[in-house]
This record gives sequence, C-alpha cells and structure tokens, in this order.
Amino acid sequence: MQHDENRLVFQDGQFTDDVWVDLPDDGPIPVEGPAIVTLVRLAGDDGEYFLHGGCRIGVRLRPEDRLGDLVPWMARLELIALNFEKFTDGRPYSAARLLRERMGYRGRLRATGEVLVDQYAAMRRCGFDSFVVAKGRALRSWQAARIEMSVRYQAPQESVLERRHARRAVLEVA
Amino acid sequence: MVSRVLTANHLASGDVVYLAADGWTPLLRDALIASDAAAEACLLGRAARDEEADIVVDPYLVEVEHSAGRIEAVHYRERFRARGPSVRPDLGKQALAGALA
Amino acid sequence: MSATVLEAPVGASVTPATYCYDAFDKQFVAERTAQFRDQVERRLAGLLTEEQFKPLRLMNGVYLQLHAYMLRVAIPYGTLSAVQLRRLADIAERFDKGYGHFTTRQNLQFNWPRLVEIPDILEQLAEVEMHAIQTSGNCIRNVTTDQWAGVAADEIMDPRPWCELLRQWSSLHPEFSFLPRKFKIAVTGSPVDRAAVATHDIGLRMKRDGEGRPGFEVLAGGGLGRTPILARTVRAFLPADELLAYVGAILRVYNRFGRRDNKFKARIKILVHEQGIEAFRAAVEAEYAAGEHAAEAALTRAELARIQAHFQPIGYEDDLPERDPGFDRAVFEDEVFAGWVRGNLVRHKVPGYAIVNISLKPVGGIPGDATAAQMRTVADLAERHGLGEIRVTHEQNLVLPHVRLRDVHAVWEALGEAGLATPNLGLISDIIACPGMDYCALATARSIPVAQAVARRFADLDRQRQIGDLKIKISGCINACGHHHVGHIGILGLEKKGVESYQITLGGDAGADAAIGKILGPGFAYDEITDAVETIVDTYLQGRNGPGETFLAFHARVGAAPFKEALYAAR
Ligand code: SF4
Repeated sequence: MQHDENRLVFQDGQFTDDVWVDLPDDGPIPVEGPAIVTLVRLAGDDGEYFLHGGCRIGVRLRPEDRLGDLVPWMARLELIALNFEKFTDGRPYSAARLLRERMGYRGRLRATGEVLVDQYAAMRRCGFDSFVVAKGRALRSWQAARIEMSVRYQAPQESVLERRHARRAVLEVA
Repeated sequence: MVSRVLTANHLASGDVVYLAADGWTPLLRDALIASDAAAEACLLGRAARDEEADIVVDPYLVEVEHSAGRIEAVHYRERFRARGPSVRPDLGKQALAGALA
Repeated sequence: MSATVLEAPVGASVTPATYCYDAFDKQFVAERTAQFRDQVERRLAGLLTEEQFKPLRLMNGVYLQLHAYMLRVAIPYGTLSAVQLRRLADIAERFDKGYGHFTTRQNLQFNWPRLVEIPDILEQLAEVEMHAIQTSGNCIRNVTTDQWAGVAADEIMDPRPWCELLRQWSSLHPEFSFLPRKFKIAVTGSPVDRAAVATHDIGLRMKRDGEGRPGFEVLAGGGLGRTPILARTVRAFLPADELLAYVGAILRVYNRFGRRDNKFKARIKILVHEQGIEAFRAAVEAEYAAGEHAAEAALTRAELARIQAHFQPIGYEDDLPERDPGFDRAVFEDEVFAGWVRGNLVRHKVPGYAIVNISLKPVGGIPGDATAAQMRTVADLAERHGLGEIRVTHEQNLVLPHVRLRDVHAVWEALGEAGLATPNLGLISDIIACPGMDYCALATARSIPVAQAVARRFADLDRQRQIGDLKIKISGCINACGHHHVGHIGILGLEKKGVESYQITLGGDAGADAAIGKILGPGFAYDEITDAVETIVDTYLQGRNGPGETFLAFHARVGAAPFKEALYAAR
C-alpha cells in the first residue's frame, strides 16, 4: 500500500511522512502494520486477530461511531484517528476529550479530514497530538501562520483560572 | 431575454462592486450588461478569475432593466444594494455626487 | 465613601464598579487581536479561501453585509465604562461613518469598516478592555442579562459576576467553538425577567434554596427564529458553584448530538424538542454524573469571589434621603421634565439615587443608532453624574444606572441638548427593530423605515401615554433578531411576489410569563403596515375596560377576533 503523496503529518513539532496505512474494509491485513482500520472491521470477523495479533493497529472513527465500542481494544490501539468531515464539524473535539479524560486513552490521537492551522490550538488542547495536513494551500497557510494563544480560560491544560488561584494560594502561604 | 450584470464585494474593503469593461466599478450604471448566455458566461468567467485571485468575494449575476441609458436592478434587494441604506440617503453610493444619474 | 468621584471633571477617569481586566485578560485579548490580524493577512495573501476565512471572521464578529463589512463589538452583559463608550465614539469617527448601532443582544455594530482596518479597530478596542470575540459564529455568544443588574430594587443577586465568569469560560473554548449552530446564554438575577431568558439556548434564573444558598434554575432549548420555542427547565435548582461544569455538560450533549444536517434544525431547541425534555435532561445528567467536578467547583468559587470583588458598589454618597427637594420641585414645576421622569426613571436600590433610561428611539430616528457626539455626551454624563458607568439594553436603549436624584434635572437637560431625552420608554414608539434590508444581507424586507413610520404616526405623546404599555418589535427576516415573536405586536418583514410584505403577530411577551405571539392573518404591504398597526391600536383603545387593562390583558381576554374583524373585514 502506498503512502498518500498529497499530505504530511504534523506531530511532535514537525512535519513527517506518514508511516500509517489506511486499510480498506476489504483489503488484506498486513502482518506487521502499522494499519488503520475502521471500527466496523475492528469489531468484525478480524477482531480476534487485531486483539491478539502482532500487527500495530489504529482505528479511524466517524463522528457517529460509539466510543464505548472501542473498550475491548483500548490497550491494543496505538492510534485513533478522528475525522473532521468539515473543519466546522465540532464533534471530534468532544470525542477527543472523552477518549483522553474519561477513557484514559494515551496513544496517538490523530486529526484527519479538513485539518487547518487555525483549529490546531483547539485540537491540541482537546488531546490531539497528530495532524494530517493536505499539501498546497492548507500546508502553506500552516507554515505562514505565526500566532498561537498562550492564555486559555478552560481546562484541559492549565487555565487562567488555575494560574490565578495557584498564585493566590502561594501568596496566602507566604 | 432578461439582462444581467455581475456583482460582488471587494475583498479588502467590502464595497459592493460591479464588473465593468476595465475591471470593477462601484456604480451599477457603469456595469457591463450581458444580454445572452454567452455574455453571461464571459462575465462569470472573469469574476471567477478575480475571486480566485482574492480580489472579490461572492460574485453573482443580477437581473436588471435598462432603457435610455438608465439601469435599475429588478429585485428591491439589489436596488438597495446599488444605492445604500434607504434610511440614510447621506450614506452609500447614493451619496456619491451624480452616482444615480 | 469617596465623594470626590462624584465631582470628577469630564475626562478624569472614573473607575466604575465593573470587571477590570487583569494581566491574563489583557494578554488574551492582545493575542487574539494579533491572531486575527494574521488571519486577515493570510486571507488577503490567498492562503485562506473565503470558505475557510468566513467562520474565522464571524467568530470575531466580522460579517459581510449588504453594503459593506460589519463589525459587531461585544458589550459583555451590557455594561460599559465612560472610557469605553468614548472609545467607541472615536472608532466610529476614525474608521466608520460617525455612528454605531446598539443591538438587541446588548452589542454595538459598526456598519462600514474596511476589512483591512478591522485589526486596527480591534487594537483600539483592546486598549479599553473590549473585543469582538464570539459576537457571531457557531459558538457561545456574548452573555446577556438584565440592563438594571446590580441596581434594581427587585433583584435577588447581581448576575453580572456570573456573566463575567461565563464570558471568560466560553472565550475560545477549545471544545465548543464549532457547535452545530450559534449558542446564546442569558442570566436574570431578578424574578421580573428583563433578560428574556426563556428565549435563549440556555436561560439561567438566579434562585436561593431553602437554606439561602445561591443557585440557578437552568433552562435550555429556547430560541426565536424560524421555529420559536420557549426554553424548558432542565434543573430546577443547580448549586451556583456547579454552573460551569453543568453548562459544559449541556454543551457537550449538544455538540455531540445536535443536528448538523440542516441549518434550520441545528439549534439546541430542536434537539430538546426532538428528544423530548425528559430524554434530553437524562442525557445531560448522565454526562454530568460521569465527570469529576469537585476541583472545577472549588475553582469556580475562588474565581467568582475574585470577580465579585470588582462589582462591589463604590462611590455612592452615604445616607442620602429617599427624596430630594430640588428634584421634587423640578418635577412639580416642569411638566415636560415630569413626563420624562415618569417614563424613563426607575427606582434604584440605594436611597437618593435613580436609574436613568436614555431612549435611542427619537420619533423618526433609527432605533438603536447613536452618533459619536451622542456617545460622548452620554460618556461625559456618566463620568460627571453616574459613577462612570453606562448600560446597554436589549431594547436598544442606554442606561445611566446610578444618578443622584439631585443631578437628574441637569442630566435631563444635557440629554435634551443631544437629542437624547425622548420620554417614550416602554411606550408604543419605543420600538425594537433589527437593521433589516437597509443593512443586513440576510433580510427579506426592511424594518427600520417601518419603525420610523409607526413612531411618526403615534408621535403625539399624550396619545402614546393613553395607549400605555405596548411593545412593538420588528424583524426583517425569519431569523428574528428584532424579537418579533415576543412583541405585544410583532412585525415580520417577508418577500411576497417580489415586494416587501409584513406579517403581524399579537400577544407575544418577553417577560417572566414569556409567550410567543400568534400570526393574525395575511400580510400587509409596505405602505399598508402603519395603517394596520393603527387599526390594531384603535381596536384596543375602543374595546378595553379602561386604561387599567393593558394591550396584552385585553388581547388575552378577547383573543384575535376583534382585531381580525377590524383589519380584514373590509378587504
Ligand atoms: S432578523 Fe433577519 S434581517 Fe433582521 S438583522 Fe436578523 S438576519 Fe438581518
């Protein structure tokens, strides 16, 4: 299977080529992977293989997939890809937080679909740590954008509220 | 056959503009008038290029009536758009000297 | 207490008892402004398509309207300082066409900014602790409240600290910036609901439980627009410090399950309606129960205490008597002043003070518009006589919330010179009207000239007072920014067969007994609508049981029949 020439992956602060391969529902299973399958395939006949086999696996979810269905595979999954059908579709943000904060997922959390630099900060704060960026205009914009916010009012990640009151607590102790 | 002109908004300023022979004009009376499908396609093609070049946004065709050198949009929305707010005759294109002549 | 503040000369800074940014808030707005400048530059350079840029500019209050771009500036919970209002006046002159428009959501709109200059405007705003963040877009919008919050005599608690907490919490929220549709929250601290909370996506009514602890009745699923629905109660009593976590649970349920397939079915009201309130409540409670909220509640308490300290009343003169002899004499001697006092003055919770309401509805004027000069006049008066504070109402008027009775006459005279002393508050000419097709790209008809014509028809003040409490609200399309559904007389501008046509609803009410008006019958043409309104009013005047029976009471008693008879029988 070929890597997609038209996209790059941004993670850990840099652009890299993607090592993961998107497996269609009817394709052969690679022995070693790393392969990304759908939830349908994960939960289907090949499920046992994915549960115990040696291949590195990830899953790609659609917004309507139920996160609870992932539970049996949580320990095996190295990557979960949430797809932004449109960058204006906000559902993956909630799904990401649920995976990280409620279900304890620690592997790669990848944003796919329409992934734009202006949503990068929000995605990262919700728990994404891997971003598939289309080459062309989106990539040029990604490289040109300069601004990131250092101040945030909400959890997750340390918020202004916490910083304000942490400082106060220190002052009160002093 | 109805006649049409092509309108859009200027990206940087937001001004309402119309496609004229030599670029974009703020005044409807200076707009190029298309009276057949081929002429409309030509206007749309030029507008699409300028949209792609990030000069204008949201181009579309507007039906107009014209006679004896006067031109007026058919729909009231486009008439307001060509003039300015009806409640502020001192603002918008209607305030430009001679703009509506 | 500091009496010097009261005598402050114009231009001296009077710090009103409202929220002041700390270093974090300042940095946040500065960074957001720089970020938006970068987005505009990338758009102009072709690195963002219009489709990609549009949601970004909307999230920062920038629309492309009928004639030009429009910038909507947030006025959180409708509170402004004199310094801020003066800055708005400066911006209106320097970057716009010398005026601004106060909206039904307590915001201010500039109608003519150039895109390339909007980052500069935002910098000007940031200097006075203002911004345009989330005044549009499918995100949590500016939180609104009672325009008399903190000063009304009938209040349970000042809701503004909670609004400020929500403002901060919702600003660039990473999870809730791309909701299915826009999301509006309103809070009322008084049992007399002046914030119309039942027409919001989330409505919060401040309550106290049996032991006197503060909290909220939480409503959800209200909204006007194409499908007007009043909000339903999700929680009858929520302890106050659980507010952020609980609102977060509602938003998460909405973000995950709200409809995204159809723009007209995407508001939370449709989700609540389609699921049913019980199922919706169960989903919210389940989401809430699954989370761990103790730390957030502790943080909420600490943060609220910090914010509340900003809202402690300062500068009131102590021990003023209930009445002021000079004020009483002026009322006695000057009939015009007395008429304005009766209509525009409201009781303040502090003795010797009054709430002064400034009508932005001069007969024949544009509802909600104020010139730069008028803004400066109000700012000066606020500094000289009003503890430096101004409020913006959802009925598109302004308020000086703390004026000593002894200063009221001088304030009135100065307002009169600026054309701001129209004594019509709550009367038939105090009309809410959205911009309609004079400015708005979505409009199907004009609203402003309809408001102007109706106000002119009823210009006679004696007639207005005889009619009494009658609220007319006009929208230029089904989006209902003019709140026509909750007008006693609502007017909706539509297009019918290529011309403007106006549909009338009767019996709407935005107050504590909120009600959606009912459509009366076929619409009226542009040049018929004023006559139709007059016929409705005459029908009421002829049929009512004396002046004690308000228009709404009369309508409730007799229904639509006599109005229909009067309007349509002759047709
Ligand atoms: S109600 Fe319609 S016309 Fe009026 S401001 Fe809203 S969108 Fe525009």
